[in-house]
Amino acid sequence: MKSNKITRWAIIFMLAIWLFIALERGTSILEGVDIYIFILIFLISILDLLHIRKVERAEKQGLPAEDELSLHIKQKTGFQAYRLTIYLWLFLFMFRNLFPTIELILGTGLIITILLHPIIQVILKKRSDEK
Amino acid sequence: MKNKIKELRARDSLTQNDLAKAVGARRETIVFLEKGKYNPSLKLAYEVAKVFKMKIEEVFLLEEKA
Repeated sequence: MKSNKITRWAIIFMLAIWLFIALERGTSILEGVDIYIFILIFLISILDLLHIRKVERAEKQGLPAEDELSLHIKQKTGFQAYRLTIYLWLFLFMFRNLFPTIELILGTGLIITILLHPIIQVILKKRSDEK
Repeated sequence: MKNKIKELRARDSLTQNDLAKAVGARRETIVFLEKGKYNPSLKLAYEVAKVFKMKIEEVFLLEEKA
């Protein structure tokens, strides 16, 4: 599938840029703010690869990767994640004194934001979706 | 909403994958439907009923509120 190839190249491109920046700065890859960039790229890559695997598996079985239920869950997940993200950032800014640096607030917020969507999706998939 | 998908699938010797392919849905959706955890759209309900050569109301049964 064309979009899968694009995603794979996007991941390789992101990793290459990150590696270049880290080497250019002469810092260790897992040091300071770079660790957040590494975690973010790692999480994005894992989520994208899982998506690619899901699509390819469905294609092999001759089934669609998306249908009305998955779309419904996706929409619900998006809304819930959006709502929780608002509270997350509010909480992070209210308790900013607990964090020694701005980077730590931003990094933590971004990582939780990325993780919220798949976590909520798993919960919604497990739960009865609609009675 | 209750449905007879599981019984009808057994009657016609269809697997969940077969039914999913026939109606253009994912297998997980068929699982959710059989468990009564998802109320399908009118289009999907129609497609499912068509596979079993039955009417929608013969496959899907609306539970009356007490």
